[in-house]
Amino acid sequence: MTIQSEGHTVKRFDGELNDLHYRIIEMGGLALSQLRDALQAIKTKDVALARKIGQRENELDLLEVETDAAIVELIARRCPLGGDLRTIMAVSKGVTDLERIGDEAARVANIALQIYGNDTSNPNERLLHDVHVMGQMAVDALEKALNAFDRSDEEMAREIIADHRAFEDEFEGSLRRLITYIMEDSRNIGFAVNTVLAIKALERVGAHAQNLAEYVIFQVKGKDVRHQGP
Amino acid sequence: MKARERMPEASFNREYSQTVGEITSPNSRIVCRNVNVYYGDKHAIQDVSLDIGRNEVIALIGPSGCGKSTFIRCLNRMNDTIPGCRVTGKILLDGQDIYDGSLDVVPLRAQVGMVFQKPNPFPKSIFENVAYGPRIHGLVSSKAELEEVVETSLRRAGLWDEIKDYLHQPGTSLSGGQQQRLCIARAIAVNPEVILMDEPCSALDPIATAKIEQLIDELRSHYTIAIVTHSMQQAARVSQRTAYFHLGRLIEVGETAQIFTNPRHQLTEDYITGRFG
Amino acid sequence: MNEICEVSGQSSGRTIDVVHASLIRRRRAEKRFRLYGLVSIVLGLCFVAILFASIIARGYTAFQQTSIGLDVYFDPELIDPEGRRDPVTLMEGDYDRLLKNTLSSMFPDVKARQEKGALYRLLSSAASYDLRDQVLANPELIGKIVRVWVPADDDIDMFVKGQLPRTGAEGERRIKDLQVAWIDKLEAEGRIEKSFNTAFFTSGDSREPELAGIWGAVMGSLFTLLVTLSLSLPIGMAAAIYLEEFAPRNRWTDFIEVNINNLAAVPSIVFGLLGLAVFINFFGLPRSSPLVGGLVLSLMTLPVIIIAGRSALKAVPPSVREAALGVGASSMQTVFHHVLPLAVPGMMTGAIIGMARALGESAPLLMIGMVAFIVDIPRGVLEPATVLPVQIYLWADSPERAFVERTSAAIIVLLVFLIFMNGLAVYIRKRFERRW
Repeated sequence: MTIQSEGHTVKRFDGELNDLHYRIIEMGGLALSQLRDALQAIKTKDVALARKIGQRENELDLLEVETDAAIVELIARRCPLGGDLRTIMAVSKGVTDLERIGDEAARVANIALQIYGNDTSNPNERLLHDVHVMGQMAVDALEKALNAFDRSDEEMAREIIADHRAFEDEFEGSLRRLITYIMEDSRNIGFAVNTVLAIKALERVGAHAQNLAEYVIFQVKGKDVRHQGP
Repeated sequence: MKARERMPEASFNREYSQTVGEITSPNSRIVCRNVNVYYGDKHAIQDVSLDIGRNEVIALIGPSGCGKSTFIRCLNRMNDTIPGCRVTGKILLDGQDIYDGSLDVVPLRAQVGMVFQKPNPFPKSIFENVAYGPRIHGLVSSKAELEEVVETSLRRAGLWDEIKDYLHQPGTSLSGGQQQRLCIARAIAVNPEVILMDEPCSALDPIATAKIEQLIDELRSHYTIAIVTHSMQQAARVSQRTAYFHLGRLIEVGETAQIFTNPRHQLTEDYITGRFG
Repeated sequence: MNEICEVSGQSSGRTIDVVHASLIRRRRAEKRFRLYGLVSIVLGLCFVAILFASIIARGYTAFQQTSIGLDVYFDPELIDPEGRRDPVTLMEGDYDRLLKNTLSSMFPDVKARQEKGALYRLLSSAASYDLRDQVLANPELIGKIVRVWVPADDDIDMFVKGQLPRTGAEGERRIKDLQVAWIDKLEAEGRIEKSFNTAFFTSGDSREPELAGIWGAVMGSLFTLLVTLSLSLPIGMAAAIYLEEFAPRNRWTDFIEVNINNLAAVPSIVFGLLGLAVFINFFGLPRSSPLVGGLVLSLMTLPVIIIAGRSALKAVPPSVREAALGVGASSMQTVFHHVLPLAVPGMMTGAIIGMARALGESAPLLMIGMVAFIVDIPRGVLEPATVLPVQIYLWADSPERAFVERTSAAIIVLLVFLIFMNGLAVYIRKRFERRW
């Protein structure tokens, strides 16, 4: 967010915009920690941690609702224009993406529960390797996006968008690898489907992180860079 | 760049005081180049160059005393009435220099009508208010024709249905919003090509304002309209292009949506987001 | 921010006390000021009331004239010896003798010459003209005895109205005991009557108070004002409009403005001297004429009309001008269609007040000879005339007792005109002033 050297004539407006900014950063932090915990749960086979994620999911939803209400109020009362308008639009959209990220994190946690919850045979560790790699990439992307959002850093946002290609490549590579595993041993099928779902969820997280980066660019430059080829 | 190539005279090729945005219009009716206005020693407008297109509503915004009113008053030479006011530069209306010494201001003002900040109907009847312009310019030859012009103008101004039974009541007996629409009817009765509006809604309530804004939108298909306003929301609502003035300079001009969502000049951004002014 | 809040919060209790304390003082000051205003208004009204009361008390009797009823025998020997009822002959009849004979027959014991003279002086010297006019109008009277009412002499008039003493040392009285006795006798016979003094309103000036009237002065004033109005109104309005609406603002117009304001303050006698030097001595216009008087008063009224006109034009809101210019009216159309109609009531008010001033002006007219004793009623602007205030001045100077009340009566007439004119000004302002 651009904090102008010179604040608004109406000081309260500054306060409200700051408040909005902290809300989205808080949401981002929460979504990030959810995602980390979900990955952690898969990594450490921690069923309890996975369960906790499902419970905290509500917190994120609540934050989304509150932030949306704050945005509506801000628009109604302040009639924001220019940079303020773009900031608010970016926040408004970012909130949705963060909530989705939270959903995806919960989905990953659910998969962890399915994998480790019922006492079937231990899964093939190699299969989960891709989940770890993609998880780390998604976490990195999200962290970077949140940083970019926090500092309205257009450069960083552009890096995220550029990095996203590598992320997509990794996703496609993972899928291909999983297919080979399935073909190798049909007992892996049930496990592999879960893995596919997990990496698909992580791919979505990456896409949402990219969206966040695009909003940052819109906020700073006023340019909509969505749905454009790299 | 393209704009500069179109300039008819070499003197126009001066630097345009760093105005941001496209000052030209694809279908321009009024062309202003390097307009400077002085009130005595005060340099009220500095090097303003701006085009106003056909069927376009251009909004002029900016902090108080930035010269936007002065600027539109140049367009029909209302500044002539102010002692000590001097205008340099070129203002062309359909290619004709309006500050040419040989040009008579009377037909100019018939071509470029004006609506003022405070509704100022003549202290005469509603009918007389509207009929005055056509009558002095000899636009009508018979009483029936005059009545028709009055009716059309009042209809166009969206006032006819409200006042058709009170045509001979004094214009000052109307409400503020009605008075302002009467003034608009009076301006369009002489069939101008351009209508200048100097904060036409600043004295009106929101409903009267909405009616005027609706009217401006309807009038757009017939006229070129330049409106000075202090309300950014109003500028955003009624105009296609917006020009931002600051301390006598034209800082930025562009599509209204662009100015209000993504102004390019820091001063414009600060003004529209309420960081000064 | 917080500090300010605290400070104001702390002191809020005390503030209201301080306000209350000062309130009493403020209210008292306000009351005192109102009282001063009231007192000055009452004082002013008192003076006006005293002025009016004294003038009316002194002047109202002049609207009545004492006449004496005589049974005149229209002796054909004296007035129509040829018996042809020829108007020329009738004009030259000895009506004086008719009256004297009548009086002698009424008071047969009066024999001495001096006493006879006193007896005849009961009647106005114009009484014989009255008889003549009656005979000329109605020749049937000749040879008959008819009761005729003729005006009494001014002293008798005064005496009957109770303004001359009845008692006291005879030598100091204008009416001697003998005359008192005659008057008492006439009164007892019902031969003395007071009636409305039409002569006062229909005749010109005269050396005889009972014959003197203000009509000549009224006509003189009328002609003078006519000249003044027809000159100063168009010139004044044109000047005001030009200066206010068209003239460029520069050193010249400033200079002119200053001079107009100065002219308004110049003592009016100076205008009289100017008129004498320019209009009479240089242009050779007839002395004492309403034309010259009107010219001089025009000079005096012009600045007033110009100043009033300019302020009336200034009071027209600029939005009206803008509106007119905005639809493409030329400057001339703007002024004449929109500005002037709004300014005219104010201009007219100024003009009428200027006229009222001109009507009440005497000093400059003294200078141009309008102070002459003029009996004839003027019939044009070139004939010698006098005006009401000058007539008042003349009468106030006359020694006869009866002129005192006539002076006051003339003042009443002048005041009525002035009140009427000022009332008209107020009416015009109220009636035609338009709101915008």
